[in-house]
Amino acid sequence: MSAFRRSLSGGALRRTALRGMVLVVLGAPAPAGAQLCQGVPLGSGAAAVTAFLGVADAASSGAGGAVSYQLGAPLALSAGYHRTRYDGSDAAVSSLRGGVSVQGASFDDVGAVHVAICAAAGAARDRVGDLTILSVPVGVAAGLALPLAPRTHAVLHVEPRVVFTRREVAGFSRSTRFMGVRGGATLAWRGLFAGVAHERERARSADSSTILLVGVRIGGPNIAPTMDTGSGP
Amino acid sequence: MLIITVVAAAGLSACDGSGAGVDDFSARPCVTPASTIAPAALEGLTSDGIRTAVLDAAGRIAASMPDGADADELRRALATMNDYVAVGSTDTACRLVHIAAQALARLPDDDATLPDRAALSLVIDLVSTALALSFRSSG
Repeated sequence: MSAFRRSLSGGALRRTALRGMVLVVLGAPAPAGAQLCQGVPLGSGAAAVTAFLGVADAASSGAGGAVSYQLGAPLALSAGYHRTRYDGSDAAVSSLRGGVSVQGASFDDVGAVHVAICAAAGAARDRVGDLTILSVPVGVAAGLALPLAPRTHAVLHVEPRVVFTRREVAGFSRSTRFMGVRGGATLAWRGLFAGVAHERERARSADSSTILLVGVRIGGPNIAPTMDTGSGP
Repeated sequence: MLIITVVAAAGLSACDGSGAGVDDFSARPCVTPASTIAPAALEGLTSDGIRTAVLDAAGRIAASMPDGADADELRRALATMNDYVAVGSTDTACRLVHIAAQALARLPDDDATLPDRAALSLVIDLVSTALALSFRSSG
Protein backbone atom coordinates (compact mmCIF):
# COMPACT_ATOMS: atom_id res chain seq x y z
CA MET A 1 0.00 0.00 0.00
CA SER A 2 2.79 2.38 0.92
CA ALA A 3 4.59 1.52 -2.30
CA PHE A 4 1.40 2.29 -4.21
CA ARG A 5 1.10 5.58 -2.36
CA ARG A 6 4.73 6.37 -3.09
CA SER A 7 4.20 5.63 -6.75
CA LEU A 8 1.38 8.15 -6.91
CA SER A 9 3.03 10.88 -4.91
CA GLY A 10 5.05 13.92 -5.87
CA GLY A 11 6.68 13.98 -9.27
CA ALA A 12 5.12 10.77 -10.55
CA LEU A 13 1.60 12.04 -10.02
CA ARG A 14 2.43 15.40 -11.52
CA ARG A 15 3.94 13.69 -14.59
CA THR A 16 0.81 11.55 -14.92
CA ALA A 17 -1.39 14.64 -14.75
CA LEU A 18 0.74 16.43 -17.35
CA ARG A 19 0.53 13.45 -19.69
CA GLY A 20 -3.23 13.43 -19.18
CA MET A 21 -3.50 17.11 -20.04
CA VAL A 22 -1.45 16.63 -23.21
CA LEU A 23 -3.69 13.74 -24.26
CA VAL A 24 -6.78 15.86 -23.68
CA VAL A 25 -5.39 18.75 -25.70
CA LEU A 26 -4.26 16.58 -28.60
CA GLY A 27 -7.17 14.21 -28.37
CA ALA A 28 -10.23 15.06 -30.38
CA PRO A 29 -10.92 17.56 -33.13
CA ALA A 30 -13.23 20.09 -31.61
CA PRO A 31 -15.67 22.78 -32.64
CA ALA A 32 -15.22 26.22 -31.11
CA GLY A 33 -16.10 25.80 -27.49
CA ALA A 34 -12.99 26.72 -25.54
CA GLN A 35 -14.82 29.81 -24.31
CA LEU A 36 -17.29 27.52 -22.59
CA CYS A 37 -14.40 26.56 -20.33
CA GLN A 38 -14.05 30.23 -19.38
CA GLY A 39 -17.80 30.58 -18.88
CA VAL A 40 -18.31 32.86 -21.86
CA PRO A 41 -20.81 31.65 -24.46
CA LEU A 42 -19.08 32.39 -27.77
CA GLY A 43 -18.95 30.60 -31.07
CA SER A 44 -16.02 30.45 -33.46
CA GLY A 45 -14.74 33.89 -34.47
CA ALA A 46 -16.82 35.73 -31.88
CA ALA A 47 -15.55 38.23 -29.35
CA ALA A 48 -17.16 39.56 -26.21
CA VAL A 49 -16.84 42.50 -23.91
CA THR A 50 -17.67 41.83 -20.27
CA ALA A 51 -18.11 44.20 -17.35
CA PHE A 52 -18.12 42.90 -13.81
CA LEU A 53 -18.79 44.01 -10.30
CA GLY A 54 -17.04 42.46 -7.32
CA VAL A 55 -19.29 41.22 -4.55
CA ALA A 56 -16.67 39.28 -2.60
CA ASP A 57 -17.87 40.45 0.81
CA ALA A 58 -19.32 43.46 2.59
CA ALA A 59 -15.84 44.84 3.31
CA SER A 60 -14.78 45.29 -0.28
CA SER A 61 -15.99 46.64 -3.57
CA GLY A 62 -14.57 46.18 -7.00
CA ALA A 63 -15.23 46.57 -10.68
CA GLY A 64 -13.55 45.71 -13.93
CA GLY A 65 -13.85 44.60 -17.47
CA ALA A 66 -12.55 41.97 -19.85
CA VAL A 67 -12.44 41.12 -23.50
CA SER A 68 -12.65 37.55 -24.79
CA TYR A 69 -12.07 36.09 -28.21
CA GLN A 70 -12.84 32.63 -29.53
CA LEU A 71 -10.49 31.79 -32.37
CA GLY A 72 -11.51 29.55 -35.23
CA ALA A 73 -9.19 26.94 -33.81
CA PRO A 74 -10.24 25.43 -30.47
CA LEU A 75 -8.49 28.27 -28.71
CA ALA A 76 -9.95 31.04 -26.58
CA LEU A 77 -8.20 34.13 -25.26
CA SER A 78 -9.21 36.63 -22.62
CA ALA A 79 -7.73 39.68 -20.94
CA GLY A 80 -9.09 41.95 -18.28
CA TYR A 81 -8.55 44.52 -15.58
CA HIS A 82 -10.06 44.58 -12.11
CA ARG A 83 -9.79 47.07 -9.27
CA THR A 84 -10.81 46.24 -5.70
CA ARG A 85 -11.09 48.55 -2.71
CA TYR A 86 -11.33 47.42 0.90
CA ASP A 87 -13.18 49.34 3.59
CA GLY A 88 -10.90 51.07 6.10
CA SER A 89 -7.91 51.06 3.75
CA ASP A 90 -6.63 53.59 1.25
CA ALA A 91 -4.95 50.84 -0.74
CA ALA A 92 -6.70 49.48 -3.82
CA VAL A 93 -5.78 46.26 -5.56
CA SER A 94 -5.20 46.63 -9.31
CA SER A 95 -5.32 43.35 -11.20
CA LEU A 96 -4.33 42.67 -14.79
CA ARG A 97 -5.27 39.21 -15.99
CA GLY A 98 -4.92 37.20 -19.15
CA GLY A 99 -6.00 33.68 -19.93
CA VAL A 100 -5.95 31.05 -22.62
CA SER A 101 -8.05 27.91 -22.97
CA VAL A 102 -7.33 25.15 -25.44
CA GLN A 103 -10.22 22.82 -26.03
CA GLY A 104 -9.20 19.23 -26.06
CA ALA A 105 -12.47 17.37 -26.13
CA SER A 106 -16.02 18.24 -26.89
CA PHE A 107 -19.21 16.23 -26.56
CA ASP A 108 -22.31 17.33 -28.44
CA ASP A 109 -24.44 14.32 -27.79
CA VAL A 110 -24.83 14.39 -24.02
CA GLY A 111 -28.57 14.81 -24.31
CA ALA A 112 -29.02 18.39 -25.47
CA VAL A 113 -25.97 19.53 -23.56
CA HIS A 114 -22.73 20.65 -25.19
CA VAL A 115 -19.68 19.86 -23.06
CA ALA A 116 -16.11 21.10 -23.57
CA ILE A 117 -12.98 20.03 -21.71
CA CYS A 118 -9.96 22.30 -21.95
CA ALA A 119 -6.44 22.86 -20.77
CA ALA A 120 -6.33 26.33 -19.27
CA ALA A 121 -3.54 28.66 -18.25
CA GLY A 122 -3.18 32.31 -17.47
CA ALA A 123 -1.10 35.07 -16.00
CA ALA A 124 -2.05 37.79 -13.56
CA ARG A 125 -0.37 40.77 -12.00
CA ASP A 126 -1.94 42.17 -8.84
CA ARG A 127 -0.59 45.32 -7.30
CA VAL A 128 -1.55 46.91 -3.99
CA GLY A 129 0.65 49.61 -2.53
CA ASP A 130 4.21 48.29 -2.66
CA LEU A 131 3.10 44.67 -2.97
CA THR A 132 3.22 42.96 -6.36
CA ILE A 133 1.80 39.49 -6.93
CA LEU A 134 2.54 37.63 -10.14
CA SER A 135 0.41 34.51 -10.61
CA VAL A 136 0.36 31.74 -13.18
CA PRO A 137 -2.64 29.43 -12.85
CA VAL A 138 -2.57 26.14 -14.75
CA GLY A 139 -5.50 23.77 -14.77
CA VAL A 140 -8.11 21.77 -16.56
CA ALA A 141 -11.46 23.41 -17.17
CA ALA A 142 -14.83 21.99 -18.04
CA GLY A 143 -17.71 23.96 -19.46
CA LEU A 144 -21.19 22.99 -20.52
CA ALA A 145 -23.93 24.78 -22.38
CA LEU A 146 -27.51 23.80 -21.80
CA PRO A 147 -30.03 25.11 -24.34
CA LEU A 148 -33.08 26.50 -22.56
CA ALA A 149 -34.90 28.02 -25.53
CA PRO A 150 -33.98 29.12 -29.06
CA ARG A 151 -30.90 31.35 -28.75
CA THR A 152 -30.92 31.01 -24.98
CA HIS A 153 -28.37 28.95 -23.07
CA ALA A 154 -27.23 28.38 -19.54
CA VAL A 155 -23.45 28.00 -19.32
CA LEU A 156 -21.68 26.40 -16.38
CA HIS A 157 -17.93 26.11 -15.97
CA VAL A 158 -15.46 24.88 -13.36
CA GLU A 159 -11.68 24.94 -13.33
CA PRO A 160 -9.58 23.27 -10.64
CA ARG A 161 -6.06 24.59 -10.97
CA VAL A 162 -2.65 24.93 -9.47
CA VAL A 163 -1.60 28.55 -8.99
CA PHE A 164 2.07 29.49 -8.88
CA THR A 165 2.75 32.92 -7.38
CA ARG A 166 5.65 35.20 -6.69
CA ARG A 167 4.97 37.98 -4.20
CA GLU A 168 7.29 40.92 -3.59
CA VAL A 169 7.13 43.78 -1.13
CA ALA A 170 9.87 46.16 -0.03
CA GLY A 171 12.65 43.89 -1.30
CA PHE A 172 11.22 40.73 0.28
CA SER A 173 9.76 37.97 -1.83
CA ARG A 174 7.96 34.67 -1.46
CA SER A 175 7.21 32.02 -4.06
CA THR A 176 4.20 29.85 -3.34
CA ARG A 177 1.92 27.43 -5.06
CA PHE A 178 -1.49 26.31 -4.03
CA MET A 179 -4.59 24.62 -5.28
CA GLY A 180 -7.42 26.87 -6.33
CA VAL A 181 -10.71 26.60 -8.12
CA ARG A 182 -12.88 28.93 -10.11
CA GLY A 183 -16.25 28.47 -11.66
CA GLY A 184 -19.48 30.14 -12.47
CA ALA A 185 -22.84 30.20 -14.17
CA THR A 186 -23.90 32.40 -17.06
CA LEU A 187 -27.21 32.88 -18.80
CA ALA A 188 -26.85 33.78 -22.48
CA TRP A 189 -29.68 35.25 -24.48
CA ARG A 190 -28.99 36.14 -28.10
CA GLY A 191 -25.91 38.38 -27.98
CA LEU A 192 -26.15 39.20 -24.30
CA PHE A 193 -25.09 37.25 -21.25
CA ALA A 194 -25.07 37.74 -17.49
CA GLY A 195 -23.94 35.58 -14.61
CA VAL A 196 -21.88 35.04 -11.54
CA ALA A 197 -18.34 33.72 -11.14
CA HIS A 198 -16.38 32.68 -8.09
CA GLU A 199 -12.68 32.15 -7.52
CA ARG A 200 -11.17 30.62 -4.40
CA GLU A 201 -7.69 29.84 -3.23
CA ARG A 202 -7.65 26.70 -1.13
CA ALA A 203 -4.71 27.79 1.01
CA ARG A 204 -6.27 31.08 1.98
CA SER A 205 -10.04 31.10 1.76
CA ALA A 206 -10.00 34.83 2.63
CA ASP A 207 -8.64 35.50 -0.83
CA SER A 208 -11.76 34.34 -2.59
CA SER A 209 -13.70 36.61 -4.89
CA THR A 210 -17.16 36.60 -6.35
CA ILE A 211 -18.21 38.76 -9.27
CA LEU A 212 -21.43 39.54 -11.08
CA LEU A 213 -20.90 39.94 -14.79
CA VAL A 214 -22.74 41.20 -17.84
CA GLY A 215 -21.44 40.95 -21.37
CA VAL A 216 -22.21 41.44 -25.00
CA ARG A 217 -21.09 39.31 -27.92
CA ILE A 218 -19.48 41.06 -30.88
CA GLY A 219 -19.73 39.15 -34.17
CA GLY A 220 -19.81 35.41 -34.68
CA PRO A 221 -22.38 32.98 -33.36
CA ASN A 222 -23.39 32.19 -29.82
CA ILE A 223 -21.49 29.16 -28.48
CA ALA A 224 -21.00 26.44 -31.11
CA PRO A 225 -22.75 26.73 -34.47
CA THR A 226 -24.43 23.39 -33.91
CA MET A 227 -25.99 24.81 -30.79
CA ASP A 228 -27.28 28.07 -32.18
CA THR A 229 -28.97 28.40 -35.51
CA GLY A 230 -29.11 32.20 -35.42
CA SER A 231 -26.09 34.37 -35.92
CA GLY A 232 -27.68 37.74 -35.20
CA PRO A 233 -28.21 39.16 -31.74
CA MET B 1 -13.64 14.31 -15.59
CA LEU B 2 -11.00 11.73 -14.71
CA ILE B 3 -8.33 14.12 -15.94
CA ILE B 4 -9.73 16.91 -13.77
CA THR B 5 -9.59 14.62 -10.77
CA VAL B 6 -6.00 13.64 -11.54
CA VAL B 7 -4.93 17.29 -11.97
CA ALA B 8 -6.72 18.22 -8.75
CA ALA B 9 -4.87 15.47 -6.91
CA ALA B 10 -1.56 16.56 -8.44
CA GLY B 11 -2.30 20.12 -7.38
CA LEU B 12 -3.07 19.11 -3.83
CA SER B 13 0.13 17.10 -3.65
CA ALA B 14 2.05 20.10 -4.98
CA CYS B 15 0.72 22.33 -2.24
CA ASP B 16 1.97 20.61 0.86
CA GLY B 17 3.14 23.28 3.25
CA SER B 18 3.90 25.80 0.54
CA GLY B 19 1.19 28.22 1.63
CA ALA B 20 2.70 28.77 5.07
CA GLY B 21 3.54 32.32 6.02
CA VAL B 22 1.97 33.80 2.93
CA ASP B 23 -0.62 36.00 4.64
CA ASP B 24 1.66 39.03 5.01
CA PHE B 25 1.94 38.88 1.22
CA SER B 26 -1.81 38.75 0.68
CA ALA B 27 -3.53 41.21 -1.65
CA ARG B 28 -5.83 42.13 1.23
CA PRO B 29 -4.89 45.11 3.40
CA CYS B 30 -2.43 44.15 6.11
CA VAL B 31 -3.73 43.60 9.63
CA THR B 32 -1.18 44.17 12.39
CA PRO B 33 -0.18 41.08 14.37
CA ALA B 34 -1.32 40.69 17.96
CA SER B 35 0.77 42.80 20.31
CA THR B 36 1.62 42.47 23.99
CA ILE B 37 1.71 46.26 24.30
CA ALA B 38 -1.57 48.01 25.05
CA PRO B 39 -2.31 51.24 23.17
CA ALA B 40 -2.38 53.16 26.46
CA ALA B 41 1.28 52.27 26.99
CA LEU B 42 2.18 54.44 23.99
CA GLU B 43 0.98 57.62 25.67
CA GLY B 44 3.91 59.98 26.05
CA LEU B 45 5.92 58.19 23.38
CA THR B 46 6.72 60.28 20.32
CA SER B 47 7.02 58.84 16.82
CA ASP B 48 10.68 59.86 16.91
CA GLY B 49 11.10 57.75 20.04
CA ILE B 50 9.59 54.72 18.31
CA ARG B 51 11.79 55.25 15.25
CA THR B 52 14.88 55.41 17.45
CA ALA B 53 13.89 52.18 19.17
CA VAL B 54 13.43 50.44 15.81
CA LEU B 55 16.79 51.68 14.49
CA ASP B 56 18.48 50.50 17.67
CA ALA B 57 16.80 47.11 17.31
CA ALA B 58 17.81 46.81 13.65
CA GLY B 59 21.40 47.77 14.37
CA ARG B 60 22.78 47.07 17.80
CA ILE B 61 20.37 44.40 19.09
CA ALA B 62 19.82 42.43 15.87
CA ALA B 63 23.58 42.40 15.27
CA SER B 64 23.90 40.05 18.23
CA MET B 65 21.78 37.41 16.51
CA PRO B 66 23.64 34.49 14.93
CA ASP B 67 24.32 34.95 11.22
CA GLY B 68 21.87 33.32 8.85
CA ALA B 69 19.06 34.00 6.43
CA ASP B 70 16.46 34.53 9.16
CA ALA B 71 18.61 36.98 11.14
CA ASP B 72 19.42 38.82 7.93
CA GLU B 73 15.72 39.04 7.03
CA LEU B 74 14.95 40.30 10.54
CA ARG B 75 17.61 43.01 10.31
CA ARG B 76 16.51 44.13 6.85
CA ALA B 77 12.81 44.23 7.81
CA LEU B 78 13.52 46.31 10.90
CA ALA B 79 15.93 48.60 9.07
CA THR B 80 13.45 49.47 6.31
CA MET B 81 10.31 49.64 8.48
CA ASN B 82 10.87 53.27 9.50
CA ASP B 83 11.32 54.41 5.90
CA TYR B 84 7.85 53.21 4.96
CA VAL B 85 6.23 54.72 8.05
CA ALA B 86 7.96 58.02 7.25
CA VAL B 87 6.45 58.18 3.74
CA GLY B 88 3.01 57.09 4.94
CA SER B 89 3.16 53.53 3.51
CA THR B 90 1.68 52.04 6.65
CA ASP B 91 0.39 48.96 4.80
CA THR B 92 3.94 48.10 3.71
CA ALA B 93 5.28 48.85 7.21
CA CYS B 94 2.64 46.47 8.60
CA ARG B 95 3.78 43.71 6.22
CA LEU B 96 7.36 44.32 7.35
CA VAL B 97 6.22 43.91 10.97
CA HIS B 98 4.84 40.47 10.03
CA ILE B 99 8.03 39.57 8.15
CA ALA B 100 10.21 40.66 11.10
CA ALA B 101 8.03 38.81 13.64
CA GLN B 102 8.13 35.60 11.58
CA ALA B 103 11.90 35.86 11.05
CA LEU B 104 12.35 36.37 14.80
CA ALA B 105 10.16 33.35 15.55
CA ARG B 106 12.29 31.19 13.24
CA LEU B 107 15.54 32.03 15.07
CA PRO B 108 16.95 29.24 17.26
CA ASP B 109 15.55 29.17 20.80
CA ASP B 110 18.94 29.79 22.36
CA ASP B 111 19.36 30.89 26.00
CA ALA B 112 22.31 33.10 25.10
CA THR B 113 20.21 35.27 22.75
CA LEU B 114 17.01 35.16 24.81
CA PRO B 115 17.32 38.70 26.30
CA ASP B 116 18.03 40.24 22.90
CA ARG B 117 15.24 38.27 21.25
CA ALA B 118 12.85 39.48 23.97
CA ALA B 119 13.95 43.06 23.31
CA LEU B 120 13.43 42.63 19.58
CA SER B 121 10.00 41.14 20.20
CA LEU B 122 9.11 44.14 22.36
CA VAL B 123 10.15 46.60 19.66
CA ILE B 124 8.14 44.70 17.03
CA ASP B 125 5.12 44.77 19.36
CA LEU B 126 5.66 48.49 19.89
CA VAL B 127 5.54 49.18 16.14
CA SER B 128 2.58 46.82 15.73
CA THR B 129 0.56 48.72 18.35
CA ALA B 130 1.56 52.10 16.89
CA LEU B 131 0.51 50.97 13.41
CA ALA B 132 -2.78 49.56 14.72
CA LEU B 133 -3.51 52.96 16.29
CA SER B 134 -2.56 54.66 13.03
CA PHE B 135 -4.93 52.39 11.05
CA ARG B 136 -7.69 53.08 13.57
CA SER B 137 -7.30 56.86 13.35
CA SER B 138 -7.15 56.87 9.53
CA GLY B 139 -10.01 54.39 9.12
